[in-house]
Amino acid sequence: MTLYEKIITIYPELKPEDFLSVIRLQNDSDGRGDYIREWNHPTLSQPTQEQLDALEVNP
Amino acid sequence: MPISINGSGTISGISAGGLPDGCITEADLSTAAVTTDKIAAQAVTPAKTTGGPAFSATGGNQTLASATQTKVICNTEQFDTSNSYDPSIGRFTPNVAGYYQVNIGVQYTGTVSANTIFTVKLYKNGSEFFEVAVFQTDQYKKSLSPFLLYLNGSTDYIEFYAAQFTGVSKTIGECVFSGFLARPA
Repeated sequence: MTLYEKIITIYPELKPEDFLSVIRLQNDSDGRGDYIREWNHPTLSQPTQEQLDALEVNP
Repeated sequence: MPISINGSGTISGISAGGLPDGCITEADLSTAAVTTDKIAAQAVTPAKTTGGPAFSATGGNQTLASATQTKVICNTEQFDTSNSYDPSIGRFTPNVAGYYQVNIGVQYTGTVSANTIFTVKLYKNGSEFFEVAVFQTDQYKKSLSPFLLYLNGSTDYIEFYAAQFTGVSKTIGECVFSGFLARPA
C-alpha cells in the first residue's frame, strides 16, 4: 500500500486536488520512499506514523 | 615615426606591422585590453570558442505512486559536454554561470481517463522552481516543458519531479531532461 493509499484510507473524504494544494507527498528517488513533505489541511491533522504503520499490518 | 621613451617604462611609435607570430602573448595584454570594438566582425569563429555546457538524458521504467511528487531519474545520457549531469541522481550542476534553457518531459505507459491531472515540476537547489499542471484528454499522457533560468555555475543545481493523479500507481515509459547555456552571465 502506498503512502497515498494509506492517507486516503484514513481520510476517504480527501480529493485529488487536496494533494495539489494543502498536502504534498514526495519521493526523492533516493531509496527512502514516499513521505509527507507538507501537510497544511485546514481541518484534517497529519496522520501519525503509528496510524500509517497500522495500515501496513492491517490494510 | 620617431621612437620615444617617456621614462614610465612605455615605448611609443612602434607600428604593429611586421611583428612575428606569437610575439605578443596573453600575458602581454592587460586586462580588458581587447575590447569588442577592437574585434573585426566574424574575426572570432565558432572553432575558437568552447561554448557552454549542454546535456541531454533520457530514461523510463520508473513507477510513481498517485499524488506523489517523484524525482524523475533520466539515467541514460545522450551527451554531456562538461560532465555536469549526474545520471545516477538526475541532477544537472553546470560549471559555467549563466542563463540556461532547460527542457523536462515524461510520458506514461497505459491509458487513463480524460481530464486526469499530470504534473512536471522543475526543482532548483532542492526547492520547487516552477510547476506545470497538465490535463490530459488522450492516452498519450505526454508533457514537455521548457524553462529559462539562471544558474550560478558553482552551487546551483536542477532536478525535476513528476506526479500523476490517477488514483493508482503509474509507470513512466519515457522521460527526457536536457539543457544548454543560452547566455553566459
